Amino acid sequence: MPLDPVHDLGLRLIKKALDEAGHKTILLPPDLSLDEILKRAAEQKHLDYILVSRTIGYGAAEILARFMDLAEATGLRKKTKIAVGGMGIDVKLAAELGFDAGFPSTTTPDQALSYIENRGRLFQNSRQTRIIRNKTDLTKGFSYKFHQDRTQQLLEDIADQILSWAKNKTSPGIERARIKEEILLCEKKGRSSDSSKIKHLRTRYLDLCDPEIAHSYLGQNLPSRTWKIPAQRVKNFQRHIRKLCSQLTLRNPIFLSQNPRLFVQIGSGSPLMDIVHMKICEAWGADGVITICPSSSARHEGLLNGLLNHEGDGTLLTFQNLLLIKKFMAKGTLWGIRAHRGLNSPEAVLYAGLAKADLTKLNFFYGSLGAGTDPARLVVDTLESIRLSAKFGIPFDVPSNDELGGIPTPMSFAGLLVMTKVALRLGAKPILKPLFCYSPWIILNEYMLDNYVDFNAAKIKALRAIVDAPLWVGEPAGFMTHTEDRIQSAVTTALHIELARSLAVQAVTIASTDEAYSRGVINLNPRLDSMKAVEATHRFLGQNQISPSPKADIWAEYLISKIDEILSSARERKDFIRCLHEGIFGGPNEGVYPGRAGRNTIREKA
Amino acid sequence: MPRVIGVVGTAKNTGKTTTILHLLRQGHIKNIPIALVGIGYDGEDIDNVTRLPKPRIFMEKGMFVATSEKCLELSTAELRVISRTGFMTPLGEVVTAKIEDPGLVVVSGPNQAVGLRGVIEEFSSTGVALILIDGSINRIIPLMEADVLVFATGASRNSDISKLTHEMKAIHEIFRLPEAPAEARLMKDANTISILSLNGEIQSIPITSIYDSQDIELLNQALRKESRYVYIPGIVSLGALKIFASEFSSRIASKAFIFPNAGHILAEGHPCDFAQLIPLLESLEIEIRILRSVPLAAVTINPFYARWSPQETKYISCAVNKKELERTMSAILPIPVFNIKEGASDRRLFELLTTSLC
Repeated sequence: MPLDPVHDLGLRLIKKALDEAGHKTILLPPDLSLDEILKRAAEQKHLDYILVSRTIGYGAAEILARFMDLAEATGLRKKTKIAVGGMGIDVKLAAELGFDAGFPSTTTPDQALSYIENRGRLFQNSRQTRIIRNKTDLTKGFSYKFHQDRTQQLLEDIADQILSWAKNKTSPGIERARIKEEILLCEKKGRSSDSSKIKHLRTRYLDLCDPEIAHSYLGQNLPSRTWKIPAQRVKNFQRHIRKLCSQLTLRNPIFLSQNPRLFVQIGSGSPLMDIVHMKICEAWGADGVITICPSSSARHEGLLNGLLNHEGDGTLLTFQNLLLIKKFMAKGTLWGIRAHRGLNSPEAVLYAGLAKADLTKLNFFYGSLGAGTDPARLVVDTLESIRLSAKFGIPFDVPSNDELGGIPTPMSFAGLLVMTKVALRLGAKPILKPLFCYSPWIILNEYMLDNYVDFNAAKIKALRAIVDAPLWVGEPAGFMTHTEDRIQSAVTTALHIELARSLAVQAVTIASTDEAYSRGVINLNPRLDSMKAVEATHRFLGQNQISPSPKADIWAEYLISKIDEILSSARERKDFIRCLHEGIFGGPNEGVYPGRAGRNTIREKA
Repeated sequence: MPRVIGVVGTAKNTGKTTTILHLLRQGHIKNIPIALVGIGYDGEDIDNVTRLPKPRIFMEKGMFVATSEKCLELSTAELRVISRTGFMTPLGEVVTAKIEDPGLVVVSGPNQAVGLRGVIEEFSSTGVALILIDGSINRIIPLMEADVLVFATGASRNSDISKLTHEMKAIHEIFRLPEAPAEARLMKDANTISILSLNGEIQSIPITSIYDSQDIELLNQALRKESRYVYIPGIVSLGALKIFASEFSSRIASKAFIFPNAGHILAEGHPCDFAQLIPLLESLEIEIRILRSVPLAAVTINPFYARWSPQETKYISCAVNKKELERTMSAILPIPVFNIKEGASDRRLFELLTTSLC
């Protein structure tokens, strides 16, 4: 029965569901007095449930509480359970008001029926609500066929150059990954006889690390802004997170396990905070999470050890941090670990494999042009990382690098294609990750002067015209279109996601509304802004499409032709590392410079 | 048996929790084994409706509490569950627990009298000497299980001090209604309206409450000259009572309407109107009596109220003149009036509730 003069729609929908299930229902008209309702209830010989609909507001609580008092005074509660639902209602308020159950405005008729048919037992979490959450292989069904023979040949030749050049090369990063793999396997076996072996391996590992990293293993000071997480805090946290999970109502993934899969990037600096964010995002319909590590850790040889917090962007890539995050991850959540930037790529992919991540991220163009790593070093390390990803069977995404620097999209995409070909040659499964971003090059050339649709669509069309491969609109969607206004930021994110869905990409990544501007801790509310905006926008559009104008096709053709030119230049150069230094894939003219971290650290294998 | 004290509110944010916290503190100072039960949901940090801050409930080691299972997780105090009551709320089964380590507690106990009775019985075997029942919003029926009541009222009920105090006066008058004579108690377990005649005969009619003229007609048809007591296990609506006062007084003269307790009159929600009608009915020889009297021992006042600010689109804290409120309320009521926030260390309220039983 509605206690509200106007709003009884929710009850009508519930009545329909109950009637169809064979229950006898009476829908009272709205705006009856409490006495009239109680009299009608008293007249029923058999009345198992009363469902009250009311929008809560100041003063409404007193009315509802009075109703419950009268229900008890008149003996109604002896035979009838009474539940309340509507805007602003939740379980706690229902308890405060004295009801037997409370339902928020998002309650579906199905859920109300479940309550009735379960004889008043409340569903409050995913145990009773049917949640569809299926992991998927984003690369499944793709042939990786290059549609143009010329492009195929160009890439084959470039890949030959790269693989031939790197053939006998190794690096400290590669060596460390191999040693670490042995250490972790020994530790897993747990044999005391291996303890001296482990000690020896650790010594070799530390010899290959920067002093700052090595010292931390030896019980000396951790690097600045880094500290251990006390064991008691982890123990307390486990209790806290169990409480949190019991209070969360899981929703289905926003796109219901169809494309695109929705990822959120998380890297607060604290694995505990990351877990909280992850659980909230899972509950709100994310398909997956991407763990972001600090950009600074890409510049040190060696990864730290232990459960560690870090003050700054990104959560430290320690095996223990990753295992903790994995421990609390829901079964159906896809998990990616970033490894593309620096001196620890092979070890990062090793961790991703052993921690049972589903994805990783690699791109030697990204890390070497504008992210500070020496090109030669990063190429050698990335090839090993690709082999590891193939060994562990985890696909990796290849992010384009046209967002912050001035690298033109064609150069960036040429890089994506080179990485794709190299990956295929090594038996791995790449996912191309173009960015939907308002990048400096796009701004300068006015490609998104009056809309963000056409040029982003052109990117997808161009890549699709070149190769049959999975596409993932990468983190975050709509980058550089966000402002400090949370509403604007949420809306632009959501619309970019819908564009990506319209273009039938396989996955998308979103950030929180304050991610570009946060001056401290990433908070949950801005994170939920983006999730809710995506959910609401998708609810609006459903399966309808955002359609680009014919300009998208024109620009796609332009991109394809420029990519061809760039690949041709690279092949002609016959020295891939020189290509990176000479700016064929982006250089000083575009505002990017080859990195220097790890320079002269490659050596020939023994 | 432990002494059971109920704190009733006239609306949200009238100071029930503040009163409870004061009584808890006083009980702890005096080393009295004390238990807390709530019939709603209390202890949260912000109000469910106004989103303004609310006082948290801190409980000391050795105290007892009855709360719903899901509230155990929300509490920072370490709680050891002693018994499970089988009574369900939206937040799970109500359990009784002992505080092993002090901390904050969220209380959401049985929301009906039957559940409260069960909890009181459970606590009786634990050595608890005092049970505090924290009311919820303006609900009163479950609190009629108490031995003595405190009413918490304030500007959030009505920011007009005159109207507020007159209402409280009316409530007090209803609580002072005389108890029914012993012979009427024969009907105490009746589930429907029962009529006891002078010759000892009891007849029933198949309704529990009187809402309208249709119900009145049903009652009238059953009434005889020798009918003396009419026991109403439910309620009589204000409208029906007005009809009695104006239209059928000759039929029901020299009869007594008996309610289970004052709560069954107050639950209708119009204490001033009822209080005005009662002397009118009495003058027409229609007596209003109650089976079980629960004394209203004191009133606590809260000058705060939440006002909706359209400019800020949220509720903001406001207050009436607290001295004027206390002065006016004290002048109109024959029972003590306390402003807990002003006399935080004042023992008088606690001593009054734990020594008097009226």
